[in-house]
Amino acid sequence: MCWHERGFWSEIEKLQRFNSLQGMEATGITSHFWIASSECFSSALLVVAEDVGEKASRALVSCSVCDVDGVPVQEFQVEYPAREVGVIELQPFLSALKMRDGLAHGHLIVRTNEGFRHFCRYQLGEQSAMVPTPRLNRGREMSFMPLLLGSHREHLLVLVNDSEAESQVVLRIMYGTRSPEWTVQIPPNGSRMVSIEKELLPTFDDSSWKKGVVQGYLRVSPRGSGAISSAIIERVESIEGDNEMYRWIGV
Amino acid sequence: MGLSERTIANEVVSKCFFWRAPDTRSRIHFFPTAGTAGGHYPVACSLRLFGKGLKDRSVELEGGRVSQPDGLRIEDAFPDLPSDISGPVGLEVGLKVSQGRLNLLGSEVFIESSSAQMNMVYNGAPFRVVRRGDGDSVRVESLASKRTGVVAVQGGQTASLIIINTGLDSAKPKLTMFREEREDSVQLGTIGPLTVFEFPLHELLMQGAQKHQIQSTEVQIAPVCCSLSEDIAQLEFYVLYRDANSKTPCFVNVL
Repeated sequence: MCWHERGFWSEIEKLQRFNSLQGMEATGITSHFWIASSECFSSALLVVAEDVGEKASRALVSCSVCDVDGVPVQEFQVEYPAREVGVIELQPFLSALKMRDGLAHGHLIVRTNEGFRHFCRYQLGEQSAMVPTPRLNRGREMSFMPLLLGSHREHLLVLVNDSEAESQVVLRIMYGTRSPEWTVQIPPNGSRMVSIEKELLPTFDDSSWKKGVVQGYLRVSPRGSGAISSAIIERVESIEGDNEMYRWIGV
Repeated sequence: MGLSERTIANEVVSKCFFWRAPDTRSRIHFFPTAGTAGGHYPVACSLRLFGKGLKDRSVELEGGRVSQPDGLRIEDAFPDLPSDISGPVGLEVGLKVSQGRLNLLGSEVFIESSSAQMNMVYNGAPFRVVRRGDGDSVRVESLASKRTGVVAVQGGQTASLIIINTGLDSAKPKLTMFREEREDSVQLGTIGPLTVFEFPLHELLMQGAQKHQIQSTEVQIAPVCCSLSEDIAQLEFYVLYRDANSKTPCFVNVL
């Protein structure tokens, strides 16, 4: 049973009067997750103490939800017994997220004291994925993800700006001898979802990737002072077109 | 480890595994990166393959460059890989540049295994620094004596722990699972050098894990901790989730 169902709301409201989110950041650890609210994608936050067996007290998790434009739409704190896994189903906190790119999605900022690990468990259609704190790329640090390009696949790139500064992200797709490049702008604390096959590749003068299945790579590198995390949700249609499967590709 | 040892961040390794089955093909994707440093410096990439019933073997890949993703089919890298082996096979991925000032710790690796029934891609364990002694002794930088993570299993899934030992010594790790009022520890047996070991977690999870209703799906969730009295750095731990009926692997995450 999730915390909000256990009648923790009054406790959450009391806790909201304490430590501001900014105050915790000075001594704790922070994770940034992409989140979405739809029938296809749902997310739950899991928090565990690294020395879980030695913890006797309660643990405090502070969360802030920002919409695609980086505007905070929800803040809450949850306390749970530190010997357990803190499980927070996020759906009740996501009702204020805006629709963009065909989906209501945004950015979850999670803060705890030192000595905790944060995970987001995504339900993607019938598949699920457990994602630890995503890697942040700052400055010109780069990340990559493998892509299998083809007419029966779609790759939804999700980008989160984990900083207070607007960020430019350079996306380079490498397949065969080609390596087209695009730039995406993400507002402070904002998020973007980009369909590689529907929004990026059609603007490049080549359609060879549609024939068969082509191995490619996506390289993501931020510019400026922002910090970016990224992942891909791959959607694969069955050849008959009557079924689809999702998988999470991320760091 | 003596005082004369030095940390070399321009030589890093990641301990991974891939799923081997008669109808399954696997691919490794790697991305050598040196943080914000520019320049496409040459990178030496090595793959070392090991596991039950397999002779330890390595290949060196040519043509790698910093900031350039690359990949290949594991069956192409190891054409003599026996076809009758099923289950997890160990793979150590090494990256090295000759420029001593470059730091390859941010490099990444993905492993992909696919067949008609499965389509799994996962991010390999973070690259660790190689520490080199005066002689030829090479060790992987130690991080901690234990690893704690979470296992979350929904109906129709099972979970198991994959333990990879790339060290020269056997290891006897302990698994501890925590419940509301108690903790249970089990010895995971002796993990020999250069082996991959799979330990089923499902029965342990069934015994008193937290049950949560997430979006109308019941999910059993438990914290797990793997510890070792000696140096844990030669080990890597993954959680492998499978479809309970077909036993087909669904997804993997690093503990």
